[in-house]
Amino acid sequence: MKFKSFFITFFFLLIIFIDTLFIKSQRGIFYLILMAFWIFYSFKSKFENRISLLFSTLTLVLSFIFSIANNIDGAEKSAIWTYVFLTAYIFLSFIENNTQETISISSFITLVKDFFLIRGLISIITIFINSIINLVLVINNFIKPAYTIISYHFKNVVKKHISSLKDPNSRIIKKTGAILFLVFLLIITLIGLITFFIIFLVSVKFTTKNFIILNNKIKTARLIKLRNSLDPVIIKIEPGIVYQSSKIILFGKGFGSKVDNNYFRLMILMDKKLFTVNTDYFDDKKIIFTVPIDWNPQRLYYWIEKRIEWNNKIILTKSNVVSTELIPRINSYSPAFSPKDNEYFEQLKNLDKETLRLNGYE
Amino acid sequence: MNNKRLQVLFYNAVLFLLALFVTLKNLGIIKYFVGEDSGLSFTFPDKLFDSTYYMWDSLTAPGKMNISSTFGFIWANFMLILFKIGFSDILIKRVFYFVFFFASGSGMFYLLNTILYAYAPKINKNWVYFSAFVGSLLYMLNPFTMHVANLPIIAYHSSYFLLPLTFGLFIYNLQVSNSLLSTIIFSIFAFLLINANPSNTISIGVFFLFYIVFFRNEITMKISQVKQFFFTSLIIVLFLTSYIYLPIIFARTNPYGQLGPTTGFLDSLKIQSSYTSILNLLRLTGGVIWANFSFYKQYINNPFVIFISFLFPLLILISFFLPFQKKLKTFFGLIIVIFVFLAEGSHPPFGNFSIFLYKTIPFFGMFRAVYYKFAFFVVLSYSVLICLLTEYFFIFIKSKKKKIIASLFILLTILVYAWPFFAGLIPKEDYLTQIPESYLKLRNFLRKDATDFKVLSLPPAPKGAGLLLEWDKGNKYSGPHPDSYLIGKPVIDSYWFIQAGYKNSTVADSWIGTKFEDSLTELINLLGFFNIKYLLVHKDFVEKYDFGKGEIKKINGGLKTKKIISILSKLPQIKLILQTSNYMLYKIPDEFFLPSFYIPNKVFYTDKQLITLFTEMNKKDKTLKYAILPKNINNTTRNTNNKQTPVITSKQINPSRYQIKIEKVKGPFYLVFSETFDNNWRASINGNYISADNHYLANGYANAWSIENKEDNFQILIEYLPQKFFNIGLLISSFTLLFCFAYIIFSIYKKFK
Repeated sequence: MKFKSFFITFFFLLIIFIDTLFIKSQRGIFYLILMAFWIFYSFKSKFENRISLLFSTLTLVLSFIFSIANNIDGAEKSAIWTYVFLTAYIFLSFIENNTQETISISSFITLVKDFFLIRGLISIITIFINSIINLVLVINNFIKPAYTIISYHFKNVVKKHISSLKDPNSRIIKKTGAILFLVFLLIITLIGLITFFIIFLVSVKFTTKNFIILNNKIKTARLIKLRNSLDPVIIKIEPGIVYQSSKIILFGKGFGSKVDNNYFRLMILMDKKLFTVNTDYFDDKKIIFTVPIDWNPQRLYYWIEKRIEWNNKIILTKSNVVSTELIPRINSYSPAFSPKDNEYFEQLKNLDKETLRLNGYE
Repeated sequence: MNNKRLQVLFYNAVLFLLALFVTLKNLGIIKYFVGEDSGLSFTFPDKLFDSTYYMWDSLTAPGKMNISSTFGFIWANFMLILFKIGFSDILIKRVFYFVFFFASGSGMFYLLNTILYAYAPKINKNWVYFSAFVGSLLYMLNPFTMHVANLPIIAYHSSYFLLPLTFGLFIYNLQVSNSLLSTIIFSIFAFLLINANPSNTISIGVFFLFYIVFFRNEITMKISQVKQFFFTSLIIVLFLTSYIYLPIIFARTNPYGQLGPTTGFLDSLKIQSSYTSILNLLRLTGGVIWANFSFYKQYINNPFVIFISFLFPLLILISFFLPFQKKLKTFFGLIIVIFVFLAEGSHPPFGNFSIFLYKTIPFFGMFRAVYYKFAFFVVLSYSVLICLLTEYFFIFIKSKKKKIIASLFILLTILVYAWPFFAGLIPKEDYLTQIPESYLKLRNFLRKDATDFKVLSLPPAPKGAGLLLEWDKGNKYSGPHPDSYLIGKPVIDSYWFIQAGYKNSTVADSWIGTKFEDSLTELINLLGFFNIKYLLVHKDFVEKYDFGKGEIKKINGGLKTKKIISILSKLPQIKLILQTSNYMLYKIPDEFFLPSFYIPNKVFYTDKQLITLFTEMNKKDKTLKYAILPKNINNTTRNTNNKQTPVITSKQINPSRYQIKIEKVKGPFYLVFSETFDNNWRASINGNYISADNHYLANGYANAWSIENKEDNFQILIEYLPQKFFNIGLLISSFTLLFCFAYIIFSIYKKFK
């Protein structure tokens, strides 16, 4: 994902943050414009729609936190964002084409991590400060009643001591106490600041140290993912029950694109022997072949073998194994419909339109 | 019995027991459950029969059109059958409460099974049943059902509990199997659904159409079969509902009476949208009475309850993440998004868009109770998605232990979130009450008076909305005006005079102060024009009322009553007949009284009829019978100076049909009928209708006909025209229903044979 894409995502998060915490009014047009912008941007950037769903979930969690903290305005605002992203997700689900290349949610999360690690200290500080602010806000809401009491007494004590300093009658007696109290406050503040600084330094050090390890992990994971993406995968085979001369379609991905038996083969296990199947048609995502009339009724197992080049070596890769059941044809000598024949016709209800058309049912 | 059937039976038995427990825990077995929309209408079967089978409601005097009751016709009949069997009102209310919960749960169980069968037929049935049970439990016990079960169950509730079953049958016919039998069964349920709330029926119809458009590729039936299913069910439903639309179409009436422009509903919309924030709606709450619940504070303050409430939307979002049944989930996600938007009403942030819709779309105002009209689609979607999530856990989690934990977690979340059901906190306290014996005595007393009369109820109902009474031992009543049911006679709420502008009184005068009551002495002189014989003064009217959230408002019920009693006690001609701790019954002198049909011997012609009635008629001679008619009348009756009035005897056949015997006629005359003017009241002599040109508005509200028949003695039949069409429609509907049942029985018999 490009920096620009992430910048816009980050911009959205910033808007949510500002809207939830600092803006009181709820204007529908504002949310509608942002929703439209997000949908347009996600579509254009080929974001997987589940990224919108992720934001929807995160804002819902935020809404929960605000509700617990009795911050109703914040909770309602976050819930509105949940709704906005949910609507965006639903809308994108319509327009998302399965074949379209999208940025998947896992790679999005990896890239988010990437971004923060690569952009270095500034990003870390941003996150850190944001977390601290959020934490303080949440803690503040959690301990609001206690805080109110403490702050009330604290103000009274300070007021009392300061006024005692002004009072000529008690100046001598109270002066020492007042100074001691102010020193105490100073020490407390100093300790607080030092603690904050230590936490900050430790987190920076920890993040930097982990950056190299994490980066290597990401690189390895990406390589494995790239390697795996070259393997053929059969997603489904139709029909599951076939007669001789039925047309079978295998749907999947990574089948290859060259009509070359050395490069690609559709294998079959039949009568406990291995054969290569002659295909009528194939492309990277689909294979069509006809069941020959000389195959015997039995359960047939298929898989794809493909040769690929990886690190300057030729490797033979195999797909997953799928199966169909070949059943005897009905003819004038057959006594009646067998249960298998019924199953054959029952399965037609759920078959792909193309499979039905190829087998003459539409 | 095989294992699958046993499982279905088991889950339904659990739903049954839960529904039973919830009913008994919440309603108990002693008190009446009355109030809100239903009022006392379902407590007295004789009056329920009248308000169900007659298109004119004479009980709510001076009478009003009753065509809207056809929408609840089946429901009322169900109740009448139970009454006939011997069930008491208390028991019937429990039966309905139970039916509401059980039918919601088992209907959803069927729907979810159908959906899973249509979209994932290969899944193990054991998992399907359990997932369907989880979804149905959520549909049965959730914050939406808390809102609607807060008040007595009426026909309007059936939109909710019939929706899943009807939707399931719809999917079954389109995607599983279609036959004439399944089409007929679907049509019967669609018919029952139409008998519920009309606006809900419209939104459900749109929802069904939307489903077809969305899943047009998944519908496995051939297009010819789809057409056949549609047209057959449409024809059956049209025949079944003929008693609803025939009176509306042929009598050219509007079942809602005066349905004003939608802008008139905006105030109501704003009130209804008080709690419909997205935050609430995502957690399925947000009805206008939400803050009135005793457990409301728990839902906004208790961290544990808040946590549970957030779990539902969270689980829904999680279900979207999981890679299965994507299109189905997108559909229900879309339903959530659309209906949360609609249910939000005028609440920010999208409230302005909703207001725009209400202002621009004609009749959209019927959806002004936004939470009740739209939120149940969100509940439906949540139930389906929770079911799919549970299904996913079963299929994709390998470890048996984890499977059990995950599914039990969802199940427990639903049950914990529904704790007010198990604590018996759902019904509004005021609705669980004991009707005082004194009112039943009053009913018997007035029944002995066989003459044709009406009763005036005092003080006026605040804003004409209903009465707020406090009876003995803390029992209360809040709901539509109860007097006509309590006493079994037509009752005029004195608010009628306020809304008619009597003595320049305004709506506010029905709420506080005694401006209206101060002018009662003069009003007594006019009561004859309204066929009023008795005055019922409520001593149980509250002085102030808690409208929820501790918002106690003054109503001045007590003050008004004191004033009325003080005025009446000073009028020697007014007789006190009955006195109890709850009311006082007075009778007006006979010379003031006019029957509901009378022939005037003195007529005033003016276009300002009500002003003339209120300002001049109280000073006139009581021995004469007056009538006020429109100024521009030009007919034989007006031009003939006939001093001798004929002798008249009237007989009520039913509330929409009267037979009038006229004797000693010496010339043309006017016949006044003291029921609210309606063009559909028709008079006929020997089967010949009197022209509509001779039908006039009289006394500012009533009907009058100019009778120019030349015979000395004859009979006039007065009838309310929509009743005729209702009767024809009812005949068609009954035969269609009989045919449907005959076909179902025949098919079942054939199958077993």
